[in-house]
Amino acid sequence: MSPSQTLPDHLELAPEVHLLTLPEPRFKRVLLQVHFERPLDADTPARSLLAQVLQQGSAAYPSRRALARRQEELFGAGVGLDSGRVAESSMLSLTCGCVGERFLPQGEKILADVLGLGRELLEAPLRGAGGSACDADVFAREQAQMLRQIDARSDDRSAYAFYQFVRQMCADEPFARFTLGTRAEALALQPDDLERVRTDLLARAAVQVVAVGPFDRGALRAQLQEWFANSGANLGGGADCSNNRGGDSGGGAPPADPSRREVVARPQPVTPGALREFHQQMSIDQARLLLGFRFPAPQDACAMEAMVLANAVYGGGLHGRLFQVVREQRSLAYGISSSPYLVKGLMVVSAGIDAAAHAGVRDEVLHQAGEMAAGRIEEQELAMAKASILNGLRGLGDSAGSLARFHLREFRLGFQRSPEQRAAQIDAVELDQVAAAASTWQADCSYLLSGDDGPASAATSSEEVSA
Amino acid sequence: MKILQQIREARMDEEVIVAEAASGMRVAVARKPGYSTAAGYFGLRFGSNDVRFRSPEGGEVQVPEGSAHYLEHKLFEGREEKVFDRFGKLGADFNGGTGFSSTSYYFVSSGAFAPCLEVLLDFVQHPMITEERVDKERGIIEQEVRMYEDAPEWRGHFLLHRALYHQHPIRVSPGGPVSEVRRTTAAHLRACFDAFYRPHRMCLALAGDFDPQQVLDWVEQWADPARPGQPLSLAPEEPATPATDWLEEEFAVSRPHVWLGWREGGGPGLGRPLLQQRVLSGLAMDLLFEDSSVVHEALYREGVIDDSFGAHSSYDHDWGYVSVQGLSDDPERFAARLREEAARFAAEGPLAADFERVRRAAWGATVSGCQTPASLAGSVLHSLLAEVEPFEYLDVLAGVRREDVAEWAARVLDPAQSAVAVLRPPK
Repeated sequence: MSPSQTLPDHLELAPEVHLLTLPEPRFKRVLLQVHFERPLDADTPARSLLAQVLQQGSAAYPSRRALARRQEELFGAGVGLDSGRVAESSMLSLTCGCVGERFLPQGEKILADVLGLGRELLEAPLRGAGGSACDADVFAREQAQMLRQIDARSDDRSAYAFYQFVRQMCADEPFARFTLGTRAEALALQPDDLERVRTDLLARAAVQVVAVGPFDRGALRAQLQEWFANSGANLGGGADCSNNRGGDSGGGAPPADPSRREVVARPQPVTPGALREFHQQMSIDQARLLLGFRFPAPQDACAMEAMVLANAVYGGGLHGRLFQVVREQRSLAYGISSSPYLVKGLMVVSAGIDAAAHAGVRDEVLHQAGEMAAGRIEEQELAMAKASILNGLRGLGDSAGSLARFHLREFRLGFQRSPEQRAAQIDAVELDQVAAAASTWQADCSYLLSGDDGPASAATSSEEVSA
Repeated sequence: MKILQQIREARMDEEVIVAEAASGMRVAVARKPGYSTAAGYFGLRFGSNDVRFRSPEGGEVQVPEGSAHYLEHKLFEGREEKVFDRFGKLGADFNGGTGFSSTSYYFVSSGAFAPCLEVLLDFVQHPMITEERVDKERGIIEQEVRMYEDAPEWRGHFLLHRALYHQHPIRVSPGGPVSEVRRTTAAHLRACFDAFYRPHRMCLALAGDFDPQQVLDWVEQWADPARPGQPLSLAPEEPATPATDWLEEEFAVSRPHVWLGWREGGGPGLGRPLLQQRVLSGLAMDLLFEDSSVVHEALYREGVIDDSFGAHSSYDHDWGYVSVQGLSDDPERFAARLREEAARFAAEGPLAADFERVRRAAWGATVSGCQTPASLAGSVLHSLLAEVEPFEYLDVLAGVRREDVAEWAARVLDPAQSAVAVLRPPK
């Protein structure tokens, strides 16, 4: 059976610790991800700083250089921590990658060492003087770097426009919280906050582990079972945590109690009112327009695939209506596309435009959404949208990263389908179901980031956004 | 189709057949048993640097900067039916890219390889370039160019090129400035196509779970007949030393962005010498500036660099340079400390243990780098365009000695060969 037809082996290593394994000997590289999931809450910036600090050294490899050298010795293995967000969850993810052992010159065994190094980062961090939670110099340096990253947000125009757009559109929702947080939040962090969120992650986070590539399932499973059966039992690593400011794990390493792991709640639905418009100016050449629609989050696979197809017909790629009309027919943009956030119930249109064309692009975006909601969709459009998605699904089996992403997404959505099974469901979606999905879109927020000479009154109810 | 080579690369468990069509087109096919996708990469050595050339018929031609990129856009318009629609109906991923010295077009398909291959060969070989069509695309390309111009990384990169080079066309980004896009005509693009897009100058790399002989037969059937003749690019005379040692401009950034580059006097040409320089420069930059280096650790602790820091090397037939970049509140200190550490490395060379460890990591990255049919086809096309054998990189990597890296560093990491570019926030 090909990887496109195969379901990963699913094992619950401990309550809310789920392991998905898909051994695939064709691949040259093993990919293993361990995702720790907590709510997108006030501790989100602390988790981001934690990921940075933990990568500066561990008990056994007490510097960034020592860690890097160890990875090079393991034939260029990659072991890293990253913080991110999915819907309204804050994720801290450990990613390990290494060359498949059958490709190594002497058939060396390295996977256990690579995973061990990843575990070491999380469970045996570098401590500060006198057993303090972390090295004061490392903390200060990484916190300063985080502040600089926050200050430099506007350097990436596209990401900055998205950041400002979401902050406006979802102002009172967890979704408006980004991983780095605000300057004030980052500045307020203390070393003990990092120890508190670290122990909290290891003891209370829901965990999803996914592994794809050339590995022995039994050996990997045994190593992970040993880790998570004992998770929470080895959190302190000699740290003095007596100064914890709060949280449930204060006062030292908590006892091993896997039953305390918590599943993050799904986002609450939001019903928008009239279209809100925001406009911000900065010194840029090309303007960015973002337009957000709300919809009730689909509750089953059929409704979800109809929404995926509605987005694909509308603005999901080069075949999408927005690209065809706004770029190809009217030459109003270089790029325009839409992306759905299915669990959140959000669709975001993003375009790089000439600021003078702002009103025209916005009106066309809204007009095309209305056309789709009214059922004015061509069979040919739907066929091309399906062909594009199905092509992607059929090709998933060729890439470890794509397979890992696919099965993780399935797990998080509560499904368990192979790529081929999902493809069959998409193929069965009818035109009226796509129109029904589009009819639930409600325009909520429009945001324009334009140059200093952009249309100052481009928005009908323009509001300045502080940069 | 004449089979030129059958390459079996045991270290990567890959096999590639290199053949030549009747027209002279170079074709490489790699069978990937058990893979669902198949990919085609079609390219040629013609890029944004080729703005002045002698056509095969003998006339000298000057075209606006960005013409190669503009032409790439126009090819996607097709003749009767847009290429977007043709690939769209087949559900394929596709795109193109224009570099300084090459242009390439690709598709990735699952289940429709043969029709996609026919579309690829058709639209790249048979464009329809009219004034009306060229005019229609102008606004879109202007927006693309302006998008790149807004990105500090892009802008600073080309500021560094202008500091390192006096006349060389890599001073200009592949899209060209908006002013040049505005004066580009159908006649310019047709001149480029006629001179460079000749079958014997094209390379095609294909990978997937297919019958290689059947695929070679299709290519022979769909490839144009031979159209002999070689264009000659007329590059301006380029001095061997940097144009200036410091260049900066104001730009809307939060903190200064700094680039520091060291250039070769000229370029290594194509083939094995080019590959050798790519391997040596890559290893040297890893040894000097990767997280595992003493220099990286020291500069990180001093606060000279942070996680925005990165190192890069770029080599082609007529240029070669390495660079580092990062955000810094003190660009002068950033440049001075990095120049100092590079000069120290150039004088002392790498330690044997460091060299072997970094080479082992590079080996691992190379062996596991070509995973999918698309990545393999892309890599093979890259090799064909550089006039090296697919997978030859591994041989060069295995054969390179620590002394070779030391010699490379002593030659290139000379402060006199370096230049700095800075984007500063407006005062």
